[in-house]
Amino acid sequence: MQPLGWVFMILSLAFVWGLTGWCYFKILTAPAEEE
Amino acid sequence: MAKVKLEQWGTRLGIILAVSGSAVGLGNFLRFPGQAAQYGGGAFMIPYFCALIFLGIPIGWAEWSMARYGGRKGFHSGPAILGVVGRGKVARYLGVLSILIPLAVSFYYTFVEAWCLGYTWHFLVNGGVGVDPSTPLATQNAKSAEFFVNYTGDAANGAIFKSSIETLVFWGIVFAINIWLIYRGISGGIEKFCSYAMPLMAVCAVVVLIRVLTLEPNPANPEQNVLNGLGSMWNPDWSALANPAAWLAAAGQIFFSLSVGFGVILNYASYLRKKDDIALSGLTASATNEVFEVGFGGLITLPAAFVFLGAVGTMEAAKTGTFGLGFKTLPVVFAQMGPLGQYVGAIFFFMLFLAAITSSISMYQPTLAFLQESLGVSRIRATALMVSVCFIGSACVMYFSKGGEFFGTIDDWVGTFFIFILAAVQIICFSWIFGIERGWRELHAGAKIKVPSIFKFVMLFVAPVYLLVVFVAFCYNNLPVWIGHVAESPMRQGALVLVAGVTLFLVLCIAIGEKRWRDEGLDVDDSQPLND
Repeated sequence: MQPLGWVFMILSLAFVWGLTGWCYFKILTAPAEEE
Repeated sequence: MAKVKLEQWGTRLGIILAVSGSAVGLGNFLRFPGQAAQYGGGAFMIPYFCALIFLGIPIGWAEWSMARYGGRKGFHSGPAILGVVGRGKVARYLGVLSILIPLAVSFYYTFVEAWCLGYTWHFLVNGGVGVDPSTPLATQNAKSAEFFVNYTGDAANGAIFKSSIETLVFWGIVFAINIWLIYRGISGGIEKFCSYAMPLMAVCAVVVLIRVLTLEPNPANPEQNVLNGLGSMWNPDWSALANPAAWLAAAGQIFFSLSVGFGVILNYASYLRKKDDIALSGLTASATNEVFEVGFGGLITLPAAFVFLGAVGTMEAAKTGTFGLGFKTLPVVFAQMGPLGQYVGAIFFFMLFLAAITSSISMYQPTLAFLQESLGVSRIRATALMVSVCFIGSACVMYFSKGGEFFGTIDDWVGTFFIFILAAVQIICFSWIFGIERGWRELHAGAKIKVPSIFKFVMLFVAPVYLLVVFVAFCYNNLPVWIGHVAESPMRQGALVLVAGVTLFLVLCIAIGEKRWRDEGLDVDDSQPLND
Protein backbone atom coordinates (compact mmCIF):
# COMPACT_ATOMS: atom_id res chain seq x y z
CA MET A 1 0.00 0.00 0.00
CA GLN A 2 1.57 3.26 -1.13
CA PRO A 3 1.28 6.48 0.92
CA LEU A 4 -1.02 7.96 -1.75
CA GLY A 5 -3.17 4.84 -1.54
CA TRP A 6 -3.61 5.52 2.17
CA VAL A 7 -4.49 9.14 1.41
CA PHE A 8 -7.17 8.20 -1.13
CA MET A 9 -8.61 5.49 1.08
CA ILE A 10 -8.77 7.64 4.21
CA LEU A 11 -10.17 10.68 2.39
CA SER A 12 -12.81 8.58 0.62
CA LEU A 13 -13.85 6.79 3.79
CA ALA A 14 -13.88 10.04 5.77
CA PHE A 15 -16.06 11.67 3.11
CA VAL A 16 -18.71 8.94 2.92
CA TRP A 17 -18.78 8.20 6.66
CA GLY A 18 -18.67 11.90 7.56
CA LEU A 19 -21.47 12.80 5.15
CA THR A 20 -23.61 9.88 6.30
CA GLY A 21 -23.01 10.63 9.97
CA TRP A 22 -23.88 14.30 9.48
CA CYS A 23 -27.06 13.38 7.55
CA TYR A 24 -28.30 10.94 10.20
CA PHE A 25 -27.44 13.41 12.97
CA LYS A 26 -29.59 16.04 11.23
CA ILE A 27 -32.40 13.54 10.63
CA LEU A 28 -32.48 12.21 14.15
CA THR A 29 -32.18 15.58 15.89
CA ALA A 30 -34.66 17.46 13.67
CA PRO A 31 -37.98 18.22 15.36
CA ALA A 32 -40.80 15.89 14.36
CA GLU A 33 -43.21 17.18 11.71
CA GLU A 34 -46.63 18.30 12.88
CA GLU A 35 -49.51 16.03 11.97
CA MET B 1 -57.71 4.50 -6.52
CA ALA B 2 -58.77 5.46 -3.02
CA LYS B 3 -56.80 2.64 -1.43
CA VAL B 4 -53.57 3.84 -3.04
CA LYS B 5 -54.04 7.30 -1.60
CA LEU B 6 -54.21 5.93 1.94
CA GLU B 7 -50.69 4.53 1.74
CA GLN B 8 -48.13 6.48 3.77
CA TRP B 9 -44.65 6.08 5.23
CA GLY B 10 -44.68 5.57 9.00
CA THR B 11 -41.50 7.48 9.85
CA ARG B 12 -38.96 9.83 8.31
CA LEU B 13 -36.28 7.19 8.74
CA GLY B 14 -38.52 4.58 7.13
CA ILE B 15 -38.45 6.02 3.63
CA ILE B 16 -34.72 6.77 3.89
CA LEU B 17 -33.94 3.15 4.75
CA ALA B 18 -36.33 1.92 2.05
CA VAL B 19 -34.72 4.10 -0.65
CA SER B 20 -31.24 3.19 0.62
CA GLY B 21 -32.24 -0.48 0.57
CA SER B 22 -33.41 -0.07 -2.99
CA ALA B 23 -30.05 1.44 -3.98
CA VAL B 24 -27.75 -0.94 -2.11
CA GLY B 25 -27.44 -4.12 -4.16
CA LEU B 26 -24.91 -6.65 -5.34
CA GLY B 27 -23.09 -3.98 -7.34
CA ASN B 28 -22.03 -2.17 -4.16
CA PHE B 29 -19.99 -5.15 -2.96
CA LEU B 30 -19.02 -6.80 -6.24
CA ARG B 31 -19.12 -4.34 -9.15
CA PHE B 32 -17.68 -1.20 -7.52
CA PRO B 33 -14.37 -2.72 -6.34
CA GLY B 34 -13.81 -4.33 -9.75
CA GLN B 35 -14.44 -1.05 -11.56
CA ALA B 36 -12.16 0.89 -9.20
CA ALA B 37 -9.31 -1.60 -9.51
CA GLN B 38 -9.56 -1.62 -13.31
CA TYR B 39 -9.77 2.15 -13.73
CA GLY B 40 -7.07 3.73 -11.62
CA GLY B 41 -7.59 2.49 -8.04
CA GLY B 42 -7.64 5.53 -5.73
CA ALA B 43 -7.58 7.86 -8.74
CA PHE B 44 -10.93 6.36 -9.82
CA MET B 45 -12.48 8.08 -6.82
CA ILE B 46 -12.01 11.50 -8.47
CA PRO B 47 -14.37 10.85 -11.42
CA TYR B 48 -16.51 8.75 -9.08
CA PHE B 49 -17.16 11.54 -6.58
CA CYS B 50 -17.58 14.07 -9.43
CA ALA B 51 -20.34 11.87 -10.84
CA LEU B 52 -21.90 11.53 -7.39
CA ILE B 53 -22.03 15.29 -6.81
CA PHE B 54 -22.90 16.49 -10.32
CA LEU B 55 -25.06 13.63 -11.58
CA GLY B 56 -26.31 11.20 -8.95
CA ILE B 57 -27.39 13.47 -6.10
CA PRO B 58 -28.97 16.24 -8.25
CA ILE B 59 -31.01 13.81 -10.39
CA GLY B 60 -32.02 12.06 -7.19
CA TRP B 61 -33.27 15.34 -5.72
CA ALA B 62 -35.23 16.02 -8.93
CA GLU B 63 -36.82 12.59 -8.68
CA TRP B 64 -37.80 13.04 -5.01
CA SER B 65 -39.29 16.50 -5.77
CA MET B 66 -41.31 15.35 -8.79
CA ALA B 67 -42.61 12.34 -6.90
CA ARG B 68 -43.86 14.30 -3.90
CA TYR B 69 -45.44 16.91 -6.17
CA GLY B 70 -47.19 14.20 -8.19
CA GLY B 71 -48.29 12.49 -4.99
CA ARG B 72 -49.92 15.70 -3.80
CA LYS B 73 -51.87 15.73 -7.08
CA GLY B 74 -53.14 12.25 -6.22
CA PHE B 75 -50.74 10.15 -8.32
CA HIS B 76 -48.30 7.46 -7.22
CA SER B 77 -47.05 5.96 -10.47
CA GLY B 78 -44.22 7.13 -12.69
CA PRO B 79 -46.26 7.64 -15.89
CA ALA B 80 -48.88 9.76 -14.12
CA ILE B 81 -46.29 11.77 -12.19
CA LEU B 82 -44.16 12.45 -15.27
CA GLY B 83 -47.35 13.37 -17.15
CA VAL B 84 -48.03 15.99 -14.47
CA VAL B 85 -44.49 17.34 -14.22
CA GLY B 86 -43.85 17.06 -17.96
CA ARG B 87 -47.32 18.45 -18.70
CA GLY B 88 -48.64 16.10 -21.33
CA LYS B 89 -48.87 12.83 -23.17
CA VAL B 90 -45.25 12.64 -24.34
CA ALA B 91 -43.83 12.64 -20.81
CA ARG B 92 -46.68 10.43 -19.58
CA TYR B 93 -46.03 7.73 -22.18
CA LEU B 94 -42.24 7.99 -21.82
CA GLY B 95 -43.00 7.38 -18.15
CA VAL B 96 -43.78 3.78 -19.11
CA LEU B 97 -40.04 3.26 -18.57
CA SER B 98 -40.46 4.02 -14.87
CA ILE B 99 -42.60 0.86 -14.60
CA LEU B 100 -40.95 -1.25 -17.28
CA ILE B 101 -37.44 -0.88 -15.82
CA PRO B 102 -38.13 -2.15 -12.28
CA LEU B 103 -40.62 -4.76 -13.54
CA ALA B 104 -38.37 -6.27 -16.23
CA VAL B 105 -35.28 -6.12 -14.01
CA SER B 106 -37.22 -7.99 -11.32
CA PHE B 107 -37.61 -10.91 -13.78
CA TYR B 108 -33.92 -11.78 -13.34
CA TYR B 109 -33.15 -10.03 -10.07
CA THR B 110 -35.18 -12.47 -7.97
CA PHE B 111 -33.37 -15.30 -9.78
CA VAL B 112 -30.01 -13.87 -8.69
CA GLU B 113 -31.47 -13.28 -5.24
CA ALA B 114 -32.26 -16.99 -5.11
CA TRP B 115 -28.60 -17.78 -5.84
CA CYS B 116 -27.58 -15.60 -2.88
CA LEU B 117 -29.94 -17.44 -0.54
CA GLY B 118 -28.89 -20.80 -2.01
CA TYR B 119 -25.18 -20.04 -1.56
CA THR B 120 -25.90 -18.95 2.04
CA TRP B 121 -27.59 -22.29 2.63
CA HIS B 122 -24.70 -24.25 1.08
CA PHE B 123 -22.06 -22.44 3.14
CA LEU B 124 -24.07 -22.87 6.33
CA VAL B 125 -25.07 -26.49 5.84
CA ASN B 126 -22.48 -28.01 3.49
CA GLY B 127 -19.49 -25.85 4.39
CA GLY B 128 -19.31 -24.27 0.94
CA VAL B 129 -19.76 -25.18 -2.70
CA GLY B 130 -17.57 -28.27 -2.71
CA VAL B 131 -14.20 -26.53 -3.15
CA ASP B 132 -11.32 -28.46 -1.55
CA PRO B 133 -8.65 -25.97 -0.37
CA SER B 134 -5.96 -28.67 -0.41
CA THR B 135 -6.18 -29.04 -4.20
CA PRO B 136 -4.37 -26.77 -6.69
CA LEU B 137 -5.91 -23.34 -7.17
CA ALA B 138 -6.89 -24.09 -10.77
CA THR B 139 -8.85 -27.14 -9.57
CA GLN B 140 -10.60 -25.06 -6.92
CA ASN B 141 -11.55 -22.40 -9.47
CA ALA B 142 -12.85 -25.09 -11.84
CA LYS B 143 -14.90 -26.70 -9.05
CA SER B 144 -16.41 -23.36 -8.03
CA ALA B 145 -17.22 -22.50 -11.66
CA GLU B 146 -18.80 -25.93 -12.16
CA PHE B 147 -21.04 -25.44 -9.13
CA PHE B 148 -22.09 -22.02 -10.44
CA VAL B 149 -22.87 -23.36 -13.91
CA ASN B 150 -25.00 -26.19 -12.50
CA TYR B 151 -26.72 -24.02 -9.93
CA THR B 152 -27.70 -21.26 -12.34
CA GLY B 153 -28.46 -23.40 -15.39
CA ASP B 154 -25.69 -21.64 -17.28
CA ALA B 155 -24.83 -24.74 -19.32
CA ALA B 156 -28.07 -25.27 -21.23
CA ASN B 157 -31.61 -23.98 -21.55
CA GLY B 158 -33.96 -25.68 -19.13
CA ALA B 159 -31.03 -27.11 -17.16
CA ILE B 160 -32.24 -26.03 -13.72
CA PHE B 161 -35.64 -27.61 -14.38
CA LYS B 162 -33.90 -30.95 -14.87
CA SER B 163 -30.89 -30.93 -12.59
CA SER B 164 -31.17 -28.12 -10.04
CA ILE B 165 -34.64 -28.11 -8.60
CA GLU B 166 -33.08 -26.58 -5.47
CA THR B 167 -32.54 -23.29 -7.34
CA LEU B 168 -36.23 -23.25 -8.25
CA VAL B 169 -37.20 -23.91 -4.64
CA PHE B 170 -35.08 -20.97 -3.44
CA TRP B 171 -36.56 -18.81 -6.21
CA GLY B 172 -40.06 -19.79 -5.03
CA ILE B 173 -39.15 -18.83 -1.47
CA VAL B 174 -37.68 -15.41 -2.33
CA PHE B 175 -40.51 -14.62 -4.77
CA ALA B 176 -43.12 -15.49 -2.13
CA ILE B 177 -41.34 -13.34 0.49
CA ASN B 178 -41.20 -10.43 -1.94
CA ILE B 179 -44.87 -10.63 -2.84
CA TRP B 180 -45.92 -11.01 0.79
CA LEU B 181 -43.93 -7.92 1.80
CA ILE B 182 -45.32 -5.89 -1.06
CA TYR B 183 -48.86 -6.98 -0.35
CA ARG B 184 -48.48 -5.81 3.26
CA GLY B 185 -48.03 -2.29 1.95
CA ILE B 186 -45.64 0.62 2.15
CA SER B 187 -45.50 1.03 5.92
CA GLY B 188 -46.42 -2.46 7.14
CA GLY B 189 -44.32 -4.33 4.58
CA ILE B 190 -41.50 -2.43 2.88
CA GLU B 191 -40.71 0.05 5.64
CA LYS B 192 -40.87 -2.47 8.45
CA PHE B 193 -38.71 -4.99 6.59
CA CYS B 194 -36.07 -2.42 5.57
CA SER B 195 -35.88 -1.05 9.11
CA TYR B 196 -34.59 -4.49 10.21
CA ALA B 197 -32.81 -5.60 7.03
CA MET B 198 -30.61 -2.52 6.58
CA PRO B 199 -29.06 -2.53 10.07
CA LEU B 200 -28.67 -6.33 9.82
CA MET B 201 -26.90 -5.91 6.48
CA ALA B 202 -24.53 -3.39 8.10
CA VAL B 203 -23.80 -5.83 10.95
CA CYS B 204 -23.03 -8.61 8.43
CA ALA B 205 -20.74 -6.22 6.51
CA VAL B 206 -18.87 -5.27 9.70
CA VAL B 207 -18.36 -8.95 10.66
CA VAL B 208 -17.01 -9.84 7.20
CA LEU B 209 -14.85 -6.68 7.13
CA ILE B 210 -13.26 -7.51 10.50
CA ARG B 211 -12.46 -11.03 9.29
CA VAL B 212 -10.95 -9.76 6.03
CA LEU B 213 -8.82 -7.10 7.72
CA THR B 214 -7.43 -9.64 10.18
CA LEU B 215 -6.48 -12.26 7.57
CA GLU B 216 -2.95 -13.60 8.01
CA PRO B 217 -0.78 -13.76 4.88
CA ASN B 218 0.24 -17.14 3.52
CA PRO B 219 3.84 -17.72 4.82
CA ALA B 220 4.79 -18.98 1.35
CA ASN B 221 3.65 -15.67 -0.20
CA PRO B 222 4.17 -12.98 2.48
CA GLU B 223 3.60 -10.17 -0.04
CA GLN B 224 0.02 -11.42 -0.42
CA ASN B 225 -1.23 -9.60 2.67
CA VAL B 226 -4.21 -7.42 3.48
CA LEU B 227 -2.28 -4.14 3.19
CA ASN B 228 -1.15 -4.97 -0.31
CA GLY B 229 -4.72 -6.11 -1.02
CA LEU B 230 -5.95 -2.69 0.01
CA GLY B 231 -3.20 -1.27 -2.19
CA SER B 232 -4.60 -3.17 -5.20
CA MET B 233 -7.85 -1.32 -4.61
CA TRP B 234 -6.63 2.12 -3.51
CA ASN B 235 -3.13 2.85 -4.94
CA PRO B 236 -3.75 5.59 -7.52
CA ASP B 237 -2.85 5.18 -11.16
CA TRP B 238 -2.93 8.75 -12.44
CA SER B 239 -2.85 7.73 -16.08
CA ALA B 240 -6.42 6.44 -15.69
CA LEU B 241 -7.68 10.02 -15.36
CA ALA B 242 -6.70 10.65 -18.98
CA ASN B 243 -8.71 7.63 -20.07
CA PRO B 244 -12.33 8.56 -20.99
CA ALA B 245 -13.37 4.98 -20.18
CA ALA B 246 -12.55 5.60 -16.50
CA TRP B 247 -14.86 8.64 -16.38
CA LEU B 248 -17.56 6.68 -18.16
CA ALA B 249 -17.17 3.73 -15.78
CA ALA B 250 -17.34 6.06 -12.75
CA ALA B 251 -20.48 7.79 -14.00
CA GLY B 252 -22.07 4.44 -14.85
CA GLN B 253 -21.25 3.02 -11.44
CA ILE B 254 -22.76 6.02 -9.59
CA PHE B 255 -25.75 6.05 -11.84
CA PHE B 256 -26.70 2.41 -11.45
CA SER B 257 -25.71 2.21 -7.82
CA LEU B 258 -27.91 5.09 -6.63
CA SER B 259 -31.01 3.76 -8.45
CA VAL B 260 -31.62 7.14 -10.05
CA GLY B 261 -33.55 6.80 -13.29
CA PHE B 262 -34.94 3.50 -12.08
CA GLY B 263 -38.50 4.58 -11.33
CA VAL B 264 -38.43 3.52 -7.69
CA ILE B 265 -38.00 6.94 -6.04
CA LEU B 266 -40.84 8.28 -8.23
CA ASN B 267 -43.15 5.86 -6.46
CA TYR B 268 -41.65 5.81 -2.95
CA ALA B 269 -41.46 9.59 -2.51
CA SER B 270 -44.99 10.11 -3.86
CA TYR B 271 -46.36 8.96 -0.50
CA LEU B 272 -44.74 11.92 1.29
CA ARG B 273 -46.69 14.97 2.41
CA LYS B 274 -45.89 18.60 1.55
CA LYS B 275 -44.32 19.27 4.93
CA ASP B 276 -42.11 16.16 4.78
CA ASP B 277 -38.44 16.80 4.11
CA ILE B 278 -37.03 15.53 0.83
CA ALA B 279 -33.74 17.45 0.47
CA LEU B 280 -32.04 15.89 3.50
CA SER B 281 -33.79 12.54 2.99
CA GLY B 282 -32.56 12.26 -0.60
CA LEU B 283 -29.02 13.16 0.44
CA THR B 284 -29.11 10.69 3.35
CA ALA B 285 -30.31 7.83 1.14
CA SER B 286 -27.47 8.52 -1.33
CA ALA B 287 -24.91 8.80 1.48
CA THR B 288 -26.06 5.51 3.00
CA ASN B 289 -25.58 3.81 -0.34
CA GLU B 290 -22.04 5.24 -0.50
CA VAL B 291 -21.18 3.84 2.92
CA PHE B 292 -22.07 0.35 1.72
CA GLU B 293 -20.27 0.85 -1.58
CA VAL B 294 -17.08 2.70 -0.63
CA GLY B 295 -16.99 2.02 3.11
CA PHE B 296 -17.62 -1.72 2.89
CA GLY B 297 -17.38 -2.76 -0.77
CA GLY B 298 -14.07 -0.91 -1.14
CA LEU B 299 -12.51 -2.73 1.80
CA ILE B 300 -13.87 -6.27 1.67
CA THR B 301 -13.94 -7.92 -1.72
CA LEU B 302 -10.60 -7.25 -3.40
CA PRO B 303 -8.37 -7.40 -0.28
CA ALA B 304 -9.90 -10.80 0.58
CA ALA B 305 -9.28 -12.09 -2.94
CA PHE B 306 -5.75 -10.63 -2.98
CA VAL B 307 -4.60 -12.51 0.13
CA PHE B 308 -5.41 -15.88 -1.44
CA LEU B 309 -5.18 -15.25 -5.17
CA GLY B 310 -2.41 -12.64 -5.44
CA ALA B 311 -2.27 -9.55 -7.64
CA VAL B 312 -2.75 -11.28 -10.99
CA GLY B 313 -5.55 -13.56 -9.79
CA THR B 314 -7.38 -10.64 -8.18
CA MET B 315 -7.25 -8.48 -11.30
CA GLU B 316 -8.44 -11.38 -13.43
CA ALA B 317 -11.31 -11.99 -10.98
CA ALA B 318 -12.22 -8.28 -10.98
CA LYS B 319 -12.57 -8.40 -14.76
CA THR B 320 -15.06 -11.27 -14.60
CA GLY B 321 -17.70 -8.83 -13.37
CA THR B 322 -20.29 -9.06 -10.63
CA PHE B 323 -21.23 -12.72 -11.04
CA GLY B 324 -17.72 -14.01 -11.75
CA LEU B 325 -16.20 -12.26 -8.75
CA GLY B 326 -19.07 -12.98 -6.40
CA PHE B 327 -20.19 -16.48 -7.27
CA LYS B 328 -17.07 -18.11 -8.74
CA THR B 329 -14.03 -16.43 -7.14
CA LEU B 330 -15.19 -15.61 -3.62
CA PRO B 331 -16.33 -19.18 -2.80
CA VAL B 332 -12.71 -20.22 -3.46
CA VAL B 333 -11.48 -17.43 -1.18
CA PHE B 334 -13.84 -18.46 1.63
CA ALA B 335 -12.79 -22.11 1.24
CA GLN B 336 -9.20 -21.06 1.99
CA MET B 337 -10.05 -19.10 5.12
CA GLY B 338 -9.95 -22.18 7.31
CA PRO B 339 -12.69 -23.41 9.65
CA LEU B 340 -14.28 -19.97 9.97
CA GLY B 341 -14.44 -19.53 6.19
CA GLN B 342 -17.69 -21.48 6.05
CA TYR B 343 -19.41 -19.00 8.38
CA VAL B 344 -17.79 -15.93 6.84
CA GLY B 345 -19.04 -17.16 3.46
CA ALA B 346 -22.53 -17.75 4.83
CA ILE B 347 -22.64 -14.26 6.37
CA PHE B 348 -21.30 -12.70 3.16
CA PHE B 349 -23.90 -14.35 0.93
CA PHE B 350 -26.66 -13.61 3.44
CA MET B 351 -25.55 -9.96 3.30
CA LEU B 352 -25.84 -10.12 -0.51
CA PHE B 353 -29.29 -11.68 -0.11
CA LEU B 354 -30.41 -8.80 2.13
CA ALA B 355 -28.95 -6.29 -0.35
CA ALA B 356 -30.84 -8.04 -3.14
CA ILE B 357 -34.22 -8.39 -1.41
CA THR B 358 -34.34 -4.77 -0.21
CA SER B 359 -33.79 -3.87 -3.88
CA SER B 360 -36.25 -6.36 -5.36
CA ILE B 361 -39.19 -5.30 -3.17
CA SER B 362 -38.63 -1.79 -4.48
CA MET B 363 -38.98 -3.15 -8.02
CA TYR B 364 -42.44 -4.61 -7.42
CA GLN B 365 -44.00 -1.71 -5.55
CA PRO B 366 -44.03 0.78 -8.52
CA THR B 367 -45.81 -1.81 -10.70
CA LEU B 368 -48.35 -2.61 -8.03
CA ALA B 369 -49.17 1.06 -7.44
CA PHE B 370 -49.37 1.64 -11.20
CA LEU B 371 -51.80 -1.22 -11.80
CA GLN B 372 -54.04 -0.09 -8.95
CA GLU B 373 -53.94 3.50 -10.13
CA SER B 374 -54.38 2.92 -13.86
CA LEU B 375 -56.90 0.07 -13.82
CA GLY B 376 -58.69 1.13 -10.62
CA VAL B 377 -58.48 -2.36 -9.15
CA SER B 378 -58.03 -3.43 -5.52
CA ARG B 379 -54.60 -4.20 -4.07
CA ILE B 380 -55.25 -7.93 -4.14
CA ARG B 381 -56.33 -7.91 -7.81
CA ALA B 382 -53.36 -5.73 -8.76
CA THR B 383 -51.05 -8.10 -6.85
CA ALA B 384 -52.53 -11.11 -8.69
CA LEU B 385 -52.03 -9.40 -12.05
CA MET B 386 -48.47 -8.38 -11.22
CA VAL B 387 -47.59 -11.85 -9.95
CA SER B 388 -48.89 -13.34 -13.23
CA VAL B 389 -46.72 -11.02 -15.32
CA CYS B 390 -43.67 -11.56 -13.09
CA PHE B 391 -44.18 -15.30 -13.10
CA ILE B 392 -44.15 -15.43 -16.90
CA GLY B 393 -41.10 -13.15 -17.10
CA SER B 394 -39.16 -15.00 -14.42
CA ALA B 395 -40.05 -18.40 -15.88
CA CYS B 396 -38.63 -17.30 -19.25
CA VAL B 397 -35.45 -16.05 -17.55
CA MET B 398 -35.01 -19.29 -15.60
CA TYR B 399 -35.75 -21.56 -18.55
CA PHE B 400 -33.60 -19.71 -21.13
CA SER B 401 -30.61 -19.75 -18.82
CA LYS B 402 -27.83 -20.80 -21.19
CA GLY B 403 -24.86 -18.49 -20.92
CA GLY B 404 -26.97 -15.89 -19.13
CA GLU B 405 -27.82 -14.49 -22.60
CA PHE B 406 -31.54 -14.05 -22.03
CA PHE B 407 -31.36 -12.09 -18.82
CA GLY B 408 -28.13 -10.41 -19.95
CA THR B 409 -30.09 -8.92 -22.85
CA ILE B 410 -32.80 -7.60 -20.52
CA ASP B 411 -30.07 -6.20 -18.27
CA ASP B 412 -28.32 -4.51 -21.21
CA TRP B 413 -31.35 -2.88 -22.78
CA VAL B 414 -33.75 -2.34 -19.88
CA GLY B 415 -31.46 -2.32 -16.83
CA THR B 416 -28.85 -0.11 -18.48
CA PHE B 417 -29.87 1.63 -21.72
CA PHE B 418 -33.41 2.59 -20.68
CA ILE B 419 -32.16 3.92 -17.33
CA PHE B 420 -30.18 6.59 -19.18
CA ILE B 421 -33.30 7.51 -21.17
CA LEU B 422 -35.54 7.72 -18.10
CA ALA B 423 -32.99 9.78 -16.16
CA ALA B 424 -32.74 12.19 -19.11
CA VAL B 425 -36.55 12.44 -19.32
CA GLN B 426 -36.72 13.14 -15.60
CA ILE B 427 -34.07 15.84 -15.41
CA ILE B 428 -35.46 17.58 -18.52
CA CYS B 429 -39.02 17.44 -17.18
CA PHE B 430 -37.90 18.78 -13.81
CA SER B 431 -35.49 21.52 -14.85
CA TRP B 432 -36.88 22.65 -18.18
CA ILE B 433 -40.63 21.85 -18.34
CA PHE B 434 -41.72 22.02 -14.70
CA GLY B 435 -39.18 24.84 -14.32
CA ILE B 436 -36.12 25.01 -12.12
CA GLU B 437 -37.57 27.81 -9.93
CA ARG B 438 -40.74 25.81 -9.16
CA GLY B 439 -38.66 22.68 -8.77
CA TRP B 440 -36.33 24.47 -6.37
CA ARG B 441 -39.28 25.64 -4.25
CA GLU B 442 -40.71 22.11 -4.25
CA LEU B 443 -37.35 20.67 -3.17
CA HIS B 444 -37.17 23.12 -0.26
CA ALA B 445 -40.77 22.79 0.96
CA GLY B 446 -40.40 21.23 4.41
CA ALA B 447 -36.66 20.81 3.89
CA LYS B 448 -34.37 20.28 6.87
CA ILE B 449 -31.36 21.61 4.95
CA LYS B 450 -30.76 24.40 2.45
CA VAL B 451 -29.31 23.02 -0.75
CA PRO B 452 -26.52 25.34 -2.07
CA SER B 453 -27.81 27.52 -4.92
CA ILE B 454 -25.06 26.26 -7.22
CA PHE B 455 -27.10 23.07 -7.58
CA LYS B 456 -29.76 25.06 -9.43
CA PHE B 457 -27.16 25.58 -12.16
CA VAL B 458 -26.07 21.95 -11.86
CA MET B 459 -29.63 20.66 -12.32
CA LEU B 460 -30.34 23.04 -15.18
CA PHE B 461 -27.16 22.61 -17.22
CA VAL B 462 -24.43 20.42 -15.74
CA ALA B 463 -26.44 17.24 -15.02
CA PRO B 464 -28.23 17.16 -18.42
CA VAL B 465 -25.01 17.81 -20.35
CA TYR B 466 -23.01 15.38 -18.18
CA LEU B 467 -25.73 12.79 -18.75
CA LEU B 468 -25.79 13.43 -22.50
CA VAL B 469 -22.02 13.06 -22.82
CA VAL B 470 -21.98 9.87 -20.78
CA PHE B 471 -24.94 8.49 -22.75
CA VAL B 472 -23.40 9.22 -26.14
CA ALA B 473 -20.08 7.68 -25.09
CA PHE B 474 -21.94 4.71 -23.65
CA CYS B 475 -23.91 4.17 -26.87
CA TYR B 476 -20.76 4.56 -28.98
CA ASN B 477 -18.98 1.91 -26.92
CA ASN B 478 -21.82 -0.59 -26.50
CA LEU B 479 -24.68 -0.28 -28.97
CA PRO B 480 -22.96 -1.69 -32.09
CA VAL B 481 -21.89 -4.76 -30.09
CA TRP B 482 -25.29 -5.21 -28.46
CA ILE B 483 -27.16 -4.87 -31.77
CA GLY B 484 -24.77 -7.41 -33.31
CA HIS B 485 -25.44 -9.83 -30.47
CA VAL B 486 -29.21 -9.50 -30.86
CA ALA B 487 -29.00 -10.02 -34.62
CA GLU B 488 -27.06 -13.26 -34.11
CA SER B 489 -28.99 -14.81 -31.25
CA PRO B 490 -32.65 -15.95 -31.34
CA MET B 491 -32.55 -16.14 -27.54
CA ARG B 492 -31.64 -12.45 -27.28
CA GLN B 493 -34.38 -11.65 -29.80
CA GLY B 494 -36.80 -13.60 -27.61
CA ALA B 495 -35.79 -11.52 -24.59
CA LEU B 496 -36.56 -8.33 -26.52
CA VAL B 497 -39.92 -9.75 -27.64
CA LEU B 498 -40.75 -10.34 -23.97
CA VAL B 499 -39.76 -6.75 -23.14
CA ALA B 500 -41.83 -5.45 -26.06
CA GLY B 501 -44.86 -7.47 -24.91
CA VAL B 502 -44.60 -6.12 -21.37
CA THR B 503 -44.17 -2.58 -22.71
CA LEU B 504 -47.29 -2.92 -24.83
CA PHE B 505 -49.28 -4.11 -21.82
CA LEU B 506 -48.05 -1.18 -19.72
CA VAL B 507 -48.80 1.36 -22.47
CA LEU B 508 -52.33 -0.01 -22.68
CA CYS B 509 -52.67 0.44 -18.91
CA ILE B 510 -51.51 4.06 -19.23
CA ALA B 511 -54.16 4.71 -21.89
CA ILE B 512 -56.87 3.19 -19.68
CA GLY B 513 -55.54 5.08 -16.68
CA GLU B 514 -55.47 8.44 -18.44
CA LYS B 515 -59.12 8.11 -19.38
CA ARG B 516 -60.03 7.12 -15.82
CA TRP B 517 -58.02 9.96 -14.27
CA ARG B 518 -59.64 12.53 -16.55
CA ASP B 519 -63.10 11.13 -15.80
CA GLU B 520 -62.34 11.44 -12.09
CA GLY B 521 -61.37 15.09 -12.59
CA LEU B 522 -57.71 14.63 -11.65
CA ASP B 523 -55.25 17.24 -12.93
CA VAL B 524 -53.33 14.94 -15.30
CA ASP B 525 -51.53 17.74 -17.17
CA ASP B 526 -50.81 20.05 -14.21
CA SER B 527 -53.11 22.75 -15.53
CA GLN B 528 -54.29 23.89 -12.09
CA PRO B 529 -52.32 25.08 -9.03
CA LEU B 530 -52.05 22.80 -6.02
CA ASN B 531 -54.38 23.72 -3.20
CA ASP B 532 -53.11 21.47 -0.40
